[in-house]
Amino acid sequence: MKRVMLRNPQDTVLSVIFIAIGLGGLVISLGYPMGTLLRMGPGYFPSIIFSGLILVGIIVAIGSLRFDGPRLEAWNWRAIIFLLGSVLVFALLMRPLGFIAAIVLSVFVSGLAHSPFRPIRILLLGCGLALASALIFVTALGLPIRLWP
Amino acid sequence: MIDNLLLGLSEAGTWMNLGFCFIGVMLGTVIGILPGLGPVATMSILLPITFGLPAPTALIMLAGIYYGAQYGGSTTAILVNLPGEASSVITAIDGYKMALSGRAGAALAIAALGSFFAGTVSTMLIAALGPLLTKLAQVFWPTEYFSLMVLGLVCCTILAHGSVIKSIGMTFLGLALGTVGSDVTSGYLRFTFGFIDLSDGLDFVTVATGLFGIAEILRNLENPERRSIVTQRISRLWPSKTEFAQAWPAVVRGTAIGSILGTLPGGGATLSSFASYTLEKKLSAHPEKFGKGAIEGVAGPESANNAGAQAAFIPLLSLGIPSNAVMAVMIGALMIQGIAPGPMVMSQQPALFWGLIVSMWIGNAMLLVINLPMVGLWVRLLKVPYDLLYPVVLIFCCIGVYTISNNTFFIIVMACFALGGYILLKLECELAPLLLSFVLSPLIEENLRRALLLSRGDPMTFVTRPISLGLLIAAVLLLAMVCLPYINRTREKAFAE
Repeated sequence: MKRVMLRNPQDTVLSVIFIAIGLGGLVISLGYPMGTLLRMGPGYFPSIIFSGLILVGIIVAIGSLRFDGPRLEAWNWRAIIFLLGSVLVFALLMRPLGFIAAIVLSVFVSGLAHSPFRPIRILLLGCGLALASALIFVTALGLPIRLWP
Repeated sequence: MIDNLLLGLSEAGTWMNLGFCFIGVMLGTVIGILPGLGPVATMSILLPITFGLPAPTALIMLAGIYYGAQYGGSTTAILVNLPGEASSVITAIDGYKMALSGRAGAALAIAALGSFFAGTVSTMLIAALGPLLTKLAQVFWPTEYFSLMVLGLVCCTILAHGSVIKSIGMTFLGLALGTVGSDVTSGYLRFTFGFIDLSDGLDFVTVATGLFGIAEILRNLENPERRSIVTQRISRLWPSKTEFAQAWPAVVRGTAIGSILGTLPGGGATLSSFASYTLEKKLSAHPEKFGKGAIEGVAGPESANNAGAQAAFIPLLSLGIPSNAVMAVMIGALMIQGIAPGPMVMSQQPALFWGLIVSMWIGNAMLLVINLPMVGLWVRLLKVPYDLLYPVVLIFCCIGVYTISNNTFFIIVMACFALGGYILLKLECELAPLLLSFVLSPLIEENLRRALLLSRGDPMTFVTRPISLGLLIAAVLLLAMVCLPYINRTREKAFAE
């Protein structure tokens, strides 16, 4: 029954994130040259910042153990996977396949994030958007982007 | 001052600048109306495109998006009870009630006219105050800059919604992200984890589009759409004489509040509209009418948010310090154009400075014309289904990030920030302080180092220089003000157990 112990799961998770990033960052920045107060090295400022983050994390953690708070909301895995997936599709495919194909494919994948998924509609949107973007960004603004493979 | 305004008029009055001003305010109106797409994301996406434009034109268009969004946001707030922007949340309270009782036209007209009045006054104010502040900037040492930015971060932190301690955490997170890349002084690579692409630091557009563009979509896809548009025809657009009489004092007071609060670091449109609503309710002879369709409740906040939106340019243009996330985007635009933001902008680029100011007034006039007669068209925009909207935003975010560096690496970084932003939103954290402190981080570090170099390593310099001391005292007082009730409350809670 460990879950019952967490009175404010949201803040507990947040404090873990803060402290983890803070500790990681602090360890790394302590490895950089510190310098002195007069001539600060590259490690000085980050060490202060990450220490601050750890401190905030501890305060949030204490608060979350003492007071009740909202529970964690459910995550929309479908949106996360397909939306971020479509960004990756665009990033990975635009060099090898060109701008047009990357947009059509990426829009298609992003459409899967929405329910109900309407394949024809999203395909048409992708084609329209690819055409419009090519006209705006490549023809009108002259950005150096390759349209086709 | 007249000469300066004339110079500005000649710059802003060119066909090209008028055209881009128009594009800016149009775009601003559109995104103000569409929920889930704010000015920060839009301006960031368009930032790379402005690279090809002359500097004044780029800034004029971006600024247009910002204040155009204020207008658009109030239109949906009144007609649909759906504030497109945070700054029009207040307008929705009384504006929507007015619309329900058939006074939508009057509410829209008062909102637009009030905004126009406020825009005119604050343009004059910037014109008058800007040069004075620039003089002040000349006595600013790195010490004062450091303290001022600390004050700015404190303001932004405490003004964020929700828990103060979480916002402080967001501020630290932003400061930490700002240190990624090569150290300005020594060139030492920090937190790049072996990625050469990160040696110039995390790009602003990448962070902003990830956090404000894509994370927002993830969030929006969770909430099913619910919209109830007031379908009655808007019969009478012009307010009646009594409505005018009720509204105009509120407009004047709102303008004053917005102009003052907007100039404060961390201030801006949202804070101003909240403050104005509170004041109007306090001053009103019939406070019970507020929340049930009081026209003062629309007139005051609408004027205040527009005045605040424009006054926020004062610290940016005179000191080079962004007071909120939108101004941070403007800093990005200046830097892309190779202009170092700061007090030198006014003396070295007078055409840019005054052109931008005059364009704001012209843009406000355009908005008046765009908004009132075309209200029906704008409302129809709301019927665009979200499943056709978000893929477009998504693709534009990708293209925007790609064009800034011609590098697909940053698109993947953007996806990471989108995921991070979504997690933070889920944990009820506010993202605006993170973005602002991310932008300020290199400036804070640099000024901290320089200040200590000037004082020969004596940290007391921050409290022995009077202006710096004043700024820091203000920061501490503000923090104490919000933290004390928090501590008291937690103590009460602790005792209650």
